[in-house]
Amino acid sequence: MPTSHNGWLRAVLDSPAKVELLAFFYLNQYTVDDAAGLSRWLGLDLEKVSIAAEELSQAHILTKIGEGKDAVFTLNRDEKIQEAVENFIKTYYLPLDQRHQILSDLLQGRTIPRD
Amino acid sequence: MTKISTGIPGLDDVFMGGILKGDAVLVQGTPGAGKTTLGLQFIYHGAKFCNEPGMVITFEEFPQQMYRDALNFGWDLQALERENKLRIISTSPGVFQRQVQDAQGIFQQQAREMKVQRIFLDSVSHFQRITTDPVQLRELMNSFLNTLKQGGFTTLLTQEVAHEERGVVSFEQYVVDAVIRIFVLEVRDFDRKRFIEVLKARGQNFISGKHAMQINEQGMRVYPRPMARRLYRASSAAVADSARRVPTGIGGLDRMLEGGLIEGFSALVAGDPGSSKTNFALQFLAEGVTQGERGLFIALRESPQKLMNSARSIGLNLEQMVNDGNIHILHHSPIQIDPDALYWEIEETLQKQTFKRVVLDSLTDLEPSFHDDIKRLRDYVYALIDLFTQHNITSIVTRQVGEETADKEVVESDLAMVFDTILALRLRRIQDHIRKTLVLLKVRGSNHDSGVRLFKVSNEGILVETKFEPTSRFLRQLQRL
Ligand SMILES: Nc1ncnc2c1ncn2[C@@H]1O[C@H](COP(=O)(O)OP(=O)(O)O)[C@@H](O)[C@H]1O
Repeated sequence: MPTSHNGWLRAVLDSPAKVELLAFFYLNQYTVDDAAGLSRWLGLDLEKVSIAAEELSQAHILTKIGEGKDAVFTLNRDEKIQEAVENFIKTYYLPLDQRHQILSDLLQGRTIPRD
Repeated sequence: MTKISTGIPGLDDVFMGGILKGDAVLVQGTPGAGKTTLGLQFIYHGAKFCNEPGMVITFEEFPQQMYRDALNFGWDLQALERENKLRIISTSPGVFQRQVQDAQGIFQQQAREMKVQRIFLDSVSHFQRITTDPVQLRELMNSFLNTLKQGGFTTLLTQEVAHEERGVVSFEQYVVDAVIRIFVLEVRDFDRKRFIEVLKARGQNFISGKHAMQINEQGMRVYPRPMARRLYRASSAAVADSARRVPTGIGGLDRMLEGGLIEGFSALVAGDPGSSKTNFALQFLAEGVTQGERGLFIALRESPQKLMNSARSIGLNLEQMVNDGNIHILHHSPIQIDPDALYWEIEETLQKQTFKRVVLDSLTDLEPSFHDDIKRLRDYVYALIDLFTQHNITSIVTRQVGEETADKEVVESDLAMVFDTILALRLRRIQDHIRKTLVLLKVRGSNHDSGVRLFKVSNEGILVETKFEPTSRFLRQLQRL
């Protein structure tokens, strides 16, 4: 069963595609899309995304509605799961994402916001 | 039928109160035109201020990008999501279509739970990912719009267009209730300007034509095209005879004008650079102050400080008049000012405070923004003068007119119609001296030639003096105006 510790989640997230997918859902919480749509949003290979989405739904992190290639995925809104996802993303993913943002801002000549 | 606010200041005025509740409105434009901004502002306004929860369906732009862009305008969309007043849903056209066909689908379920009233779909161009067959596309769009109608939602849909022409009418334009088009046009060399035009609005009136639109830190704003409320009629001599005269305070000129300008009408002071047009205007406002009439100086040419210096050199203490609240200076750099935005600022100023005299210095500074659209310039000037007339304000508008005006003759006679009085100020070499000369080209609606007068500018003000006989060539030049 999921708990608010990150351990189980880290065990589930055993591929880069899963991490990317989870981060996408975390940042875009109300996404409703099928595997093909998700692969388009992420710019990742359809097969990898299909497997990742399937496994994340088996781990109850995503909710799968329907079957086959028309099945759509949403983020599970269970509080405990949300909390675990948030912890994970904030610890492992966002710092990286922010670095990307700063880099891309720099490249586009935008100023970096100061906290 | 109920109208609802779009949340875009000015756009509701274009729609004469707002868009019809339950309508589907298509927003067309090239990439970067501002379609998404318009849609998000519509949704934010509804959710935040009208108790109308909203749903955004996006096929391409990431919700996270929308949150970020919106925050730059000060709109916290995620806070609204936490309050269940908003959902931004990223999805694919195919998923969306399948779900919408099913009454128990995710979108309808969400919409029911949240009592969604406004929907923003960005963009219908992506339906082509489902099919490129025009017949199927049309059916798809129709069934989708029907579902929206049944749900009672007010919907904004964006559509990307490849370029600015509006020749091609897409089928989407036929099936929606209203179509808004955003245009991005080049003005001056490197300056781009946004306009918005309502191409159709079923079952309601709207103000036709292109309206200036701006995006700044506060979001989007539309400046409805200034329009004269009625057809302009130049004052007839009969009306004018009984009308009150408004003295200009310029020695000699008031006598030529049989007492002054006509109350509630406008005079054009046209002439060479350096011919004292601004001084004429200053003297006119200062005379008002001595008569207890407040004046508004719309300064597009000179800063308030420079104006005060000019005034001092003709013996007027403008600074004092400003400090006493008798004259208000509205200053904008002509490079930054959008004429339509200026019009609405003037309108607001005249609503808030009472003025009896107004000066616009100068029309020339506004002209480049019209990009040789002569009709638009003329409508603008008519609207502005009409605004002054509605407030019973007597006004002077200055305009620079060089010697090479022949090719613009048509425009000028067109523009001239709105002015009751026209003065031409010219610098002329007379007997080896540069002299300032004045000719009254039009008085009280009729063409008029009082001959050429010399005038002097000194620290005691402006004085129009002796008449002199010009050569016929010189007169012809003056009358080109
Ligand atoms: N604070 C701002 N000041 C001025 N312009 C802005 C500001 N924020 C965004 N914009 C402009 O608004 C436009 C936004 O376009 P967008 O709504 O995404 O267009 P579309 O959806 O039509 O592609 C961009 O061209 C950007 O330059």
